[in-house]
Amino acid sequence: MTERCLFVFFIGLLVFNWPLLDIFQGEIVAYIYGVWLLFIATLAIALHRSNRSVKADGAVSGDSRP
Amino acid sequence: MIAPVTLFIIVMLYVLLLFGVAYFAEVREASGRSLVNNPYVYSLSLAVYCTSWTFYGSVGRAATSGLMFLPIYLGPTIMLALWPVVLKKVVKIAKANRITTISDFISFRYGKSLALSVLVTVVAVIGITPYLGLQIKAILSTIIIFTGKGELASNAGVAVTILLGLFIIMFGIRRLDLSERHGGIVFAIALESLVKLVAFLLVGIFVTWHLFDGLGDILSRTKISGNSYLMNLLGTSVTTSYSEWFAMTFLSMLAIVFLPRQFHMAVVENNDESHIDKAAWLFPLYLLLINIFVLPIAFGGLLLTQGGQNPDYFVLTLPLDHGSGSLAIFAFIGGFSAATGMLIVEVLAISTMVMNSIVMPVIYKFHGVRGFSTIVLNIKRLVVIVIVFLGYLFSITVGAYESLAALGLKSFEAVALFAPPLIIGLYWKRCNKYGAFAGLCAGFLIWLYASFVPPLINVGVIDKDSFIGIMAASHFFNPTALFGVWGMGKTLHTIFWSMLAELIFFFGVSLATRQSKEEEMQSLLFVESYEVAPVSGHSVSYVIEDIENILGRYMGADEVQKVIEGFLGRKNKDRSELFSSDLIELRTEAEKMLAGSIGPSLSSIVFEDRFVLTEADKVEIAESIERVTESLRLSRQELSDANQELERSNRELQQFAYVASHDLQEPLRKVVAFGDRLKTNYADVLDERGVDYLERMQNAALRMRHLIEALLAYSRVSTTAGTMAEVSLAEVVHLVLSDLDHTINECGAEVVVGELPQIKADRLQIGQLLQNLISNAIKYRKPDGQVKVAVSSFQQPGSSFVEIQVKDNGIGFDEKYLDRIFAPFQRLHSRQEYSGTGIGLAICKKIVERHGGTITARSAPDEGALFLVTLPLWR
Repeated sequence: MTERCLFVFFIGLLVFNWPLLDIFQGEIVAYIYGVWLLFIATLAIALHRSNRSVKADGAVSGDSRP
Repeated sequence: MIAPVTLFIIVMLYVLLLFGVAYFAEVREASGRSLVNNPYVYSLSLAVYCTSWTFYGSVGRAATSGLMFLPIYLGPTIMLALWPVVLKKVVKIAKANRITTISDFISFRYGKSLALSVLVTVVAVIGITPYLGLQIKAILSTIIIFTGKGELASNAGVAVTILLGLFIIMFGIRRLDLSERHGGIVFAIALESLVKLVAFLLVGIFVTWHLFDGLGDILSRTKISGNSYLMNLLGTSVTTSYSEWFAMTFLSMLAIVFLPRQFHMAVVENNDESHIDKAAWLFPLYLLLINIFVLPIAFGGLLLTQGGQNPDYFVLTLPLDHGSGSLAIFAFIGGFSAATGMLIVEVLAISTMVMNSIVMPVIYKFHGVRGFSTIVLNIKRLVVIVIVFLGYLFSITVGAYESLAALGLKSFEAVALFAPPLIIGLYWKRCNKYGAFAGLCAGFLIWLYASFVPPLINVGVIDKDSFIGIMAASHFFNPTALFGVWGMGKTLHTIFWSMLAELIFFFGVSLATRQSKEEEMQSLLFVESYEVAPVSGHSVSYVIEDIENILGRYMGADEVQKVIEGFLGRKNKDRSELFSSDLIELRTEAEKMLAGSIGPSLSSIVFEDRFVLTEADKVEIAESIERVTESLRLSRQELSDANQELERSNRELQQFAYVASHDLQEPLRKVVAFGDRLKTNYADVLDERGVDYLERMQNAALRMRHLIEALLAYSRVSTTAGTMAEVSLAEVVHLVLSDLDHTINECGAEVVVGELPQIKADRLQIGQLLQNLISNAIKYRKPDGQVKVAVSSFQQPGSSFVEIQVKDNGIGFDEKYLDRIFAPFQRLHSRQEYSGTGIGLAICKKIVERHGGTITARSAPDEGALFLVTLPLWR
């Protein structure tokens, strides 16, 4: 989970700052709101997958039944 | 305009609703049916971040600086990606030690330093007061807009301030045990968050689709207007101030954690750590939603009013001026919610900080402990009122000259200074209280100088000819361009210099000075999540009644009784049966309990004053810390070395087993072959006993060959493993059944195969696994009756693993032998009963483990057996 969270965090820093904002200067409003929504979705998926694999790891290392 | 009485009734009704909701939530919580113990209410309560600055100020900021209102929301969005990692650690430590404020948390990290706790509180009070003022200013301004009567503002301001103070007193500080969560307040704040979101969205829809024909219409009218100011707002402002954009993003990333109200809601009011994972994306979604209509309202307002109104209040004035009074009232309630929500939580958090760090240590020093709990409760009520009124005073004095956004940013800059001692303190053991104190002092002084000197000179509070005035006018100490460095934006300038100074002092002083033993202990707790056990072995000089008395002075008798009885219950002992080690444990627990009421610094002082440690105890604590520190350092290195050694010896062992079993086959073959020749050519010259010996030798050699073959097969699982790929289990089972066709037909077995999924596996090994399981099911059949074998699969929704089930109606086994059946060469039956070497299930286990799965079985004698194999699915 730590690696995934760090990855999403750094992606956030990148996409919401210069120079990417400069690249999309022409459509800056659409870019920011679109990427914002995308970022939230990515974060939700990353956390969901991390939690799922944590649970699965628990199943593998714990009792025999998943 | 609306009559003042009508507005007053509306406000009163809404406040009554809040009281009712908070009361209802508390009743539900008391009955064990909590309304707040879920991630949705937790996420909504975090939206206390969105204050009147968001509700009114964002539109104002958008109307004057274009997209520059956004970094305040993008920063938290980015930061929340780290919450599942960082905040969970903070919550864990805070819960375990009953920490209730950010000042207590920082002080607790640095050896429960009271001086540091006081400094953090002073920074918070001075830093947050402008923010409190901002909220009250917004409420007063909206009342004036609605009633058109400016003279009412001061009376209304006092009334609102008193009402909020009462609400906080009623639901925030009824008892002294502050580590108790405030379910009522949390639920009321969550409701307020919902109200302000809905109100803002409705105003956005009204402006976009009622006053205009949609977003396209606003954009095209902006272009048609030829207003270059408006066009500039749509983009270039970002390009001209990337440094400010970054500075504000960075500030808000820190604010979402370090603002006292955010710390309170996210850490103290957290019911369950798992809620953090959901809030990490639900809360950014809230931020996105509340910002969707900021630009349409700002641009719509500028087009309609031609700059004739304060854009900070477009959310209110646009519906009001265009005939939608009811929407305007709802918007007023939304703005009121945004302001009051922040005020309630912030005042509660700051008053707790003031009490724990300043008031209670002073009372303790000068008043002793007589009637402490009653005095403390009353003083805390007073502190709440004082802080709320401090905000009110700021709003009608300095706040009158500043915009909403400017006031809010000052607070953000101040609380950002908490980041280095807290965040670095979570991951670096060496930092100490001297470094934290020096760093915070340096950063705070620069923040104070850069933030407040220019406005105070402007309003005449500081004379231009005074020392500070002359210093500010100099090239080197210019508060807007310190050290002669020009070109940084206002926000970046303050945060850059204050944090740089803080970091230099923090690291420099930490490296130049030593930690106390208490600090070393706390650093282990924070960095390694390792709690040094209390000293034991010595007799203690206190009894249970002493601990009871101390707690009784600060907490109610009933609560003390609960604590003591709870402890005795857990220990399953009577008062008279407690050993010294139990008393030490109870003392530690009581100290933590008291920390929830009076803060960890004072709690530590109170107990140390009463129970002075002996020299022997102190030496033992010091040695214990040194031992733990050293062993932690060593154990990491040792663990790594041992792991490498284990991997190496495991590889060697596997190689040895493979080579040994392979090379043993050749001499064994010769033993068998020459035994055959001996029997064929010389049987007539041997007597009966000689032939018997020869046959026994040959049988033993054959058995040995089987064992070696089994060992070879076992070691091949790891030495000749194939690659993992997508494998259709159905296809594999089909192939296995065709291989076993002869055996199945011979005993008339019925094999039923259910639906099987695709998995990620080594095809050959999975085939071997299933072949072993199915052939075992056939082999261990009952002497009478038809053999029935069923192969099926089961998958839990959302799981990335599948459970493969192989069920038979054979002789079964006693589950107490479960471990034994999967061990190499272990058998539950004699060779005479069932042939075999006892390696089959051991191979199965090894294959399953190589695939990252598990294998087990359920069975009873004569009841058949069910083998359960868990394997990863192909995704």
